[in-house]
Amino acid sequence: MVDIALRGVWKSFGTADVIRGLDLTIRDREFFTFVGPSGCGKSTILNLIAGLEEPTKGTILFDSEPVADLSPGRRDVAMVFQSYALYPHMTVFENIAFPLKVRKERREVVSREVGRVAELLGIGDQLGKLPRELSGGQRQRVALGRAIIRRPRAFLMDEPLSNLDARLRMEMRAEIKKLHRELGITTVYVTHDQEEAMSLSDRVAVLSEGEVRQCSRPGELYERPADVFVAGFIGSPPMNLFGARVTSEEPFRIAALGAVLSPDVSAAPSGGTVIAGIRPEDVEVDTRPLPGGLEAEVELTEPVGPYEWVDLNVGGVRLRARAEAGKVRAGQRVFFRVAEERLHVFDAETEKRL
Amino acid sequence: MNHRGARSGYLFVLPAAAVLAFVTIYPLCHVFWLSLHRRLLIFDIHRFVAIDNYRFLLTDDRFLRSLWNTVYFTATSVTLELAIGLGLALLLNRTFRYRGAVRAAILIPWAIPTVVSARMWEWMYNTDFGILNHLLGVKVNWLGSPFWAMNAAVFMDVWKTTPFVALLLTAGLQVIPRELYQAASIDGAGPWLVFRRITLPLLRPMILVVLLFRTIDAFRVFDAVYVLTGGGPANTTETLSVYAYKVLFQTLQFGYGSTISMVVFACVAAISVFYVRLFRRS
Amino acid sequence: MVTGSQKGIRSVLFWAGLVAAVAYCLGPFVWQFITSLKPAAELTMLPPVLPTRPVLENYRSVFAARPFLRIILNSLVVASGTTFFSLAIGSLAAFALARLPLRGRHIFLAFVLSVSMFPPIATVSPLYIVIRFLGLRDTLTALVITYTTFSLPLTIWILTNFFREVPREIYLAALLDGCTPFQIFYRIFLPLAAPGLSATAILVFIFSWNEFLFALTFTSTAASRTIPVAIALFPGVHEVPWGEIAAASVVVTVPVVVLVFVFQRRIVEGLTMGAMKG
Repeated sequence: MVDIALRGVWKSFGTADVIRGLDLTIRDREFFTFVGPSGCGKSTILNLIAGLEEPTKGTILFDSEPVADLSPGRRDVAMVFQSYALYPHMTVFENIAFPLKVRKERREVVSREVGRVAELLGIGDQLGKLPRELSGGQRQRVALGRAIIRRPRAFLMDEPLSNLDARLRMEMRAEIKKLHRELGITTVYVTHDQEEAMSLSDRVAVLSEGEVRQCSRPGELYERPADVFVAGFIGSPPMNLFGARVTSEEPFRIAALGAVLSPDVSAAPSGGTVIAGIRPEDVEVDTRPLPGGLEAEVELTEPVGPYEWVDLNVGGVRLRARAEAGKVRAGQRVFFRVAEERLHVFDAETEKRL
Repeated sequence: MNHRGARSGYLFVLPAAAVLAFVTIYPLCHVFWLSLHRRLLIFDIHRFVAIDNYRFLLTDDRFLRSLWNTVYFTATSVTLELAIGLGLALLLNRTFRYRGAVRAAILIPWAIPTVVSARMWEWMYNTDFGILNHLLGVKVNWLGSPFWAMNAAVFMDVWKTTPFVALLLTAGLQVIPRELYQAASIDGAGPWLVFRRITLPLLRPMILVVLLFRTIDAFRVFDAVYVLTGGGPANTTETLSVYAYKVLFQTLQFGYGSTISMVVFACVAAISVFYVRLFRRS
Repeated sequence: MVTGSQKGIRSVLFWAGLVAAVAYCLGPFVWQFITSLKPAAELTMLPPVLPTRPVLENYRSVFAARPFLRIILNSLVVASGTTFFSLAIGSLAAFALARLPLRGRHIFLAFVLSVSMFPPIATVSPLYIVIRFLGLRDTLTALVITYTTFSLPLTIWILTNFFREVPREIYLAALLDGCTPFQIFYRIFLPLAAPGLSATAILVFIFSWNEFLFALTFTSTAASRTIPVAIALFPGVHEVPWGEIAAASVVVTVPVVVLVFVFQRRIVEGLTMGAMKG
């Protein structure tokens, strides 16, 4: 159970700056996720916290104590790797027992603890098997077991679900969430899947090219993305982003999509154009005219069960919207409405939220 | 990574480094040192003569003869090994029922001591009672005539080391993707063309590795020649290593013997550098 | 298009080639075996190729008249000792080279590789002087030390490659589990490299069993003589005892044959691994 603070952390490999100026604190017992596209440096952050790499600049503190002098084995953190990194020549029992054996725990203690952990994770009947005899999901649980058994101060998880198929991923997501609730250990999670990040975490930090773009609760990220990158990254399908011309500053009005819209902003733009965004789920589509009545042509539809995602062509601009299943067809002329209160506006220069 | 790991790293390497340094670096320096002296072991003659030994080398007919013998031995045996080895490798390249047993059988000549092999062939080469003469219906004095003796030694060495070459080339062949052959057969290419245009070029790296090992080994040859012919008849099959050994341990001239050894070392080093350059270029 | 008869011809050629290859490789041994069974009188008569009455007197005299058993034991001790030390020292070094952060790693590997190219003749004279000075002449220890050294390059080369194949994350996981580098080496990497270890062990054993030059130089009596030297120096007063030599050769070859047949796959693995990454 620990606070992990990163102060002014930089990490460079040669001339490449992988992590730039990281400054945040992961609170005790929190489930904190770093999310971002591949190559943005998320795994490096985990390695820095674990002590497998050293920061080029800055300090890392556990409960306000700098950990630079502690070797990975002494920081009392456990890590679950993307490839699980199970010891291939040891059985499930031996894998899970290993951290305790290294600490020279007595055999009875080891047996008892391994049994407890195996029960918790539902692999009690796999103890005699070798990793290669297990399925992906089972291997994942063994990796978790090996991490849990030490009751470490913090869990570090590096894209642990990426190698699983979609359904298993959902299952394991629920397991991990349950585990976190039961064990209450500080967890630092890394993934490129924003859905995963949103569903699991207490707080999420969105990373791009080594920098944190926004760090807040999932709800905050969804409702109030801090810049264009976060807006486009969070939410599936991604937010529609398009250019708009400022027609009036006070009250704030923009022209886009063949209409004049009045979004809520708290700052003034730096120029005459802005970047506007609206989530597909906030765009209504109907074959009958809607209030505010904007017209568009349907390019294609993507059915997903009870509703469908509809790609609209609005005078050359592509807009994704949502409609009830079967309501519209490709090639049809339809009406759509943009919920103005759900519009996001970003400065064209800085790309930050207005 | 952290420096703590590095420190233990050096400790891990220490025993190996120490052993290697003591048994190879130190003797190498000492051999060089010896080569600059005139030293007779038992008689306690020990005098610094700088490069006199090296100058003498150039006038030493026996040395020049052994140098030529070594070069001849190396060139012929490596060429033959490569040719026969390649043939064997092509033969072994497919999977067939007794492949493991055949591979094992082929490995046996490589696995036995060279000395045993030499004695075996010595018996087969025997002029009067040797099976070779009997089967061929001739009465050639294989080990007694200067011309035949050298080639007999070459042939024996080829027999013994071809399996090693074949094995390595088989491994090299197996790395070539099957799809290339399939594409070639669809394009209607005949076996010779396939061999020349696909197999050989892709085998090149492995061939170079094999050539490197075998050239160096052939140049250093000692066991085979010493036991089969003893360097005879009349030093006509004497290779550099054999000559050096005799000078060292039969005449006890540790100075001059070391000089000859240094020549062997220098040649082997030159060969290695040559092959490494060749390898880099591919 | 390959016609049926073309396939038939190819198949016949293939099998003929195989038979020829095997005969080429094993023929001399067969002849040596036949020779070893011939009584002394028939050795010098050709024909008959086969002995009229096979005898075992050659084998008997090899073991009775000469201390051959002692010599086999010497070879066994030297080969086993060399294998053990070479693997122990070499695996430690290989682990460090493969996984631990080490500056100058490439230089060391290059150095190790260059040692394997040393001509033994170049080191034999100073080593002889040192061994004489240390009073280790005519001992098995001298051989074990020398052979261990010269087999280290092969050991290090093969094992480094095997260790490199163990995924890095397993090393990291063990670090986080609290292991020291030595524990990681001992509990995880060694077991995982078992096939590499056995391949290397066999190759080192064979190398040590067959080595001649150093054995010839450093030993002088049957107390420490090894098999290759004994076979090379088979004494004959007036004539060479071909029958006995043949018997001795057979005795020495049989275990090698067994070893090769049993471990054939490992041997091939080790050799090709050594060459591929070279």
